[in-house]
Amino acid sequence: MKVRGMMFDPYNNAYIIILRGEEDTDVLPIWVGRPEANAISLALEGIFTQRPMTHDLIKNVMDTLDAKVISIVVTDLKDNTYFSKTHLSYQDSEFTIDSRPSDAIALALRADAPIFVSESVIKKQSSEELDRWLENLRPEDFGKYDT
Amino acid sequence: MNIPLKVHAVVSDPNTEAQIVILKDEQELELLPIWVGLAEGNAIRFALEGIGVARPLTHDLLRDVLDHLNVQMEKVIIHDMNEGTYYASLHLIQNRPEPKEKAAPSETEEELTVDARPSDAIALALRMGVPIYVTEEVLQKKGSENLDSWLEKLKPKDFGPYDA
Repeated sequence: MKVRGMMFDPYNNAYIIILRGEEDTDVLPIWVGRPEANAISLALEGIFTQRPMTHDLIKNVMDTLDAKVISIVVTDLKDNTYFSKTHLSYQDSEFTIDSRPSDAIALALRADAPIFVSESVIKKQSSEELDRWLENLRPEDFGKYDT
Repeated sequence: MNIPLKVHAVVSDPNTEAQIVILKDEQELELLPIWVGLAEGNAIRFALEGIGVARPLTHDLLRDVLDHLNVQMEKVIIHDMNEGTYYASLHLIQNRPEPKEKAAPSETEEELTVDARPSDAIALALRMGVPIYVTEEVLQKKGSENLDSWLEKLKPKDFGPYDA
């Protein structure tokens, strides 16, 4: 999936990252906090900061160690919390690390790594309530990343 | 020479949204205040208080990455200050497998440094239990009178609960 949009949710005072599949059929909104949203938007816009932000630091540490992000996978949804795994390769081995989707996405965008979502998560999240909420959104509620 | 520092407190700057991390040396003779963002201040606060979080925060993720890859962190050093911006570095120890043609399998260690903001370096050092150093040069540079007078004007209530 790709990050296709980001918007502010005034009701929860949080940001929503919109992930969308290649065929635009599956949409996964993920609520994230402000610093994480900021980290993702900096990467989306390709903004260069004078000093490395925290996710840049993770990327720089991995580059220095010659470790790579293979992919990130949003693996589960429990009680409105998304879980994801970050897959790394290092010294001919693979490692899987538990992470929040916001951190995983912020890292994937910096590392040019693909973002995957497991099918079970897509099924779980498609609650009617959420769809209705999304349908009621107006274009102006969306940020500038939405195409 | 590098001087070891400990995190004394994280306080809110009453004038801005920023947080100030107060570092002190062991004798409490030297004081180094570093302005950091809200998120970074919180990351340091959580580690100071030992607050457990349900999900790993960003610095926890970095610690987990290092742990999984079996990379040790030796220390962090705040090594420079330029136009009010502090520069820090992470000092990592990487184990590298020896080339296969060698008879006995062994590993070589290599020390690597990574440039970081002090806020990230401190947040990570607290999580990994490694020392925080500052160079003497940085301590000399920071001694601006403006800052000292600003700190003197702070009242106890401006400080957070970590102030002893």
